[in-house]
Amino acid sequence: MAKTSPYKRLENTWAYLFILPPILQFLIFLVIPLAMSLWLSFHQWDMLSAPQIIGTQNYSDLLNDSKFWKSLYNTFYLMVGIPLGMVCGLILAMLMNRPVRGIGFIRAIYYIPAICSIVAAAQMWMWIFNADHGLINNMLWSCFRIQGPYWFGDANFTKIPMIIMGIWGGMGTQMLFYLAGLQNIPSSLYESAAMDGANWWQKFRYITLPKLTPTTFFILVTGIIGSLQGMAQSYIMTTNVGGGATGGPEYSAATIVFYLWESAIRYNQMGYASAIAWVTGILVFILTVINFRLSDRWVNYE
Amino acid sequence: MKSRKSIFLGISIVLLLTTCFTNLTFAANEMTFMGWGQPSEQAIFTKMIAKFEAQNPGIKVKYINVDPGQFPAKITTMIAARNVPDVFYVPQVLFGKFVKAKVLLNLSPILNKSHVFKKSDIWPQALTRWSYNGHVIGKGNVYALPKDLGPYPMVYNKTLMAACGITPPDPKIPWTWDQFMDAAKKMTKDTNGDGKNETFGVAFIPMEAAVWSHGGDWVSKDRKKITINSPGWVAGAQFSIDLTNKYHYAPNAQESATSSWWNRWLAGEIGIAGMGPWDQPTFWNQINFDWDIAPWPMDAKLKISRSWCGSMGIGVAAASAHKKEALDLAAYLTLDPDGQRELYQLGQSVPNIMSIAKGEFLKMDKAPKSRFVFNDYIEKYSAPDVAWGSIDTKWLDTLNQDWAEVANGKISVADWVVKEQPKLQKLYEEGGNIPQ
Repeated sequence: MAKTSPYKRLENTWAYLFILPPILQFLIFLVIPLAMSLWLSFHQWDMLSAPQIIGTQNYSDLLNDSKFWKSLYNTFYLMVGIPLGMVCGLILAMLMNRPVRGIGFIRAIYYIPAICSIVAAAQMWMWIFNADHGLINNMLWSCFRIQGPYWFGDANFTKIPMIIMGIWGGMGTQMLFYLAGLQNIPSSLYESAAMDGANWWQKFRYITLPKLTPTTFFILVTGIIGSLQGMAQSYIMTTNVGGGATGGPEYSAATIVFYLWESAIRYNQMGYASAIAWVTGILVFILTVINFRLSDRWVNYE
Repeated sequence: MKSRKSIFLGISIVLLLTTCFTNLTFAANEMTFMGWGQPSEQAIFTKMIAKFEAQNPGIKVKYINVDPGQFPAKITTMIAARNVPDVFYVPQVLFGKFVKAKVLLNLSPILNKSHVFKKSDIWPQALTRWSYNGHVIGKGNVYALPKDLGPYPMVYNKTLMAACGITPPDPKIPWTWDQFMDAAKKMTKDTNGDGKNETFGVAFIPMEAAVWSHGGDWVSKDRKKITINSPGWVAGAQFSIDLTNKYHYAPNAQESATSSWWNRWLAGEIGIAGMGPWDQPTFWNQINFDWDIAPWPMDAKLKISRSWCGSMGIGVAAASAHKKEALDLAAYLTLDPDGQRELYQLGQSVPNIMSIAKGEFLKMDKAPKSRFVFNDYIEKYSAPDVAWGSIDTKWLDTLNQDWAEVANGKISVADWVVKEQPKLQKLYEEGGNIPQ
């Protein structure tokens, strides 16, 4: 091997110096915390006294923790919103995919929920679902004479407003993705289908949907990951004045990350919270791998 | 090339040094005090701190105000980072954990010797509250001074009572629950016949008042067992829920969601509610009916009238570099007569010093007329709130969350406690709450 010239060495030094900041950032804010949380998950640590090693007890405790299972169940329940959101996003994208005057403006309006602060949006939805003064219950009463439920006070109903708010908040982004997907479909396909006498349903079923599968796949994967990481809604919608966030009646509105937050911040169980984080992380990983494996069967990349 | 390199190195060194040193404070005698409070309370503390600094030349106090919701997380993180404020608020739920972790300075040796204040003139209830011997909270050395004691007696709308022909309760002898329910019934009215009550007899009964007066409790005397399945607890809890769900003398969950009991009370639409001393300024400014306070009712047979009394501690960091000054400051903030006077005159609290509480505080020319009930409540009619005595309160939070099942009328208290008790017992034990 030839000896590197002094010039080359100097160049290399500079190169390393330039990539040092992102590497440091990667180490300090990602690798080290990741390693620490893995380490902590085998310890008991209340932040006050020194961490004590307890082996895999945090993980075995999790298996017997009803709150963990409940919040996990809630998290998966809330995923109902993903396919519903896709349908809404697709319909919206198809409506927006036509040369109408002012279409840009209309698209922008539908995108607004996506840029809304989740705190403000949650507050608004809480008012919409207010048991007595809310729009929903008033409409239920005046149109159908149905006494609407006490949405946030009854464990059977708390998740419904959360799902609806999730769909509403995500629709704009999904519309945008689908719109991009729709506009990438060559019009020649539709033209030849028309010549063969295909009706709109056949065009939709055999051209549009298959061509959109990469978009659908992307939304599915990011949606599942996002759901498993969700907590802001649970936190805001179940916060009592002065009492802090509770997770809702019978813990019905708490997600897995909400439970993580509660364990770490409210009960100072940092080790336990780290174990929850790792279990959640592994779940995300497994689900994503499954998604990618299954994608061969239904996703069409040209 | 060479010069460019050295410039680059020079800049990086300067940057490194500045980031390292900006966080270091060089003020040798600067102390930090961390707490929270309404702006009016903050103003009083700021003033007291300025006075303290004037009396102790050379000492600077940095007053850090934190949002109460963020406080527990912030103080624990600071402790973990070994950057503890010298003096800070100690919420009850963190007290046991803090003492166990040796975060708080043991104040007993100093309390017994001090000439600045008389230990015998501080509410004993307040000092035992902040004692811990490593096994049981409430015994042993004192680890925090009381910021205040928070009695929470019954408050009633005198004007509404008179209009309904009810003789107001005697502030010295608690009502029985029968008298209470009778009054509640008379004051619950649907005056315009639309099926909705315009006035309610009661806002709520504190769960503590209902359970304790029926002879029940959450935790056994030896603090080993969750006793919500005892007859007294079940009877008291059922009584409190019947008030709303069966008799409807108090707004139910839906009605409370529409308009809180607080707003209804301020508007004069509620006969009986609860109040702490800190509610006085709002009542003085916003209420235009007659009101007064009395102890919570008692069971006719057991003759126990008791509800919760809260407290907040002010502790000194065991790791403080200025222990003596920090202790002086904590004592000053909690026990300085002028400060105590200003706090009670603003309607913030009952004085910590008994001679003031039982003297000039009672002569104050403002509602409630029977303000001696605050003192009686501390001495005779109260116990620390349920969370007190637990190192970890996950069991209690879970109880409150699961209570929704009963509150929504899905299940009776007696059936509920059968499945709830084992769950809470497990959480209670896991939380390290059983005295060793």
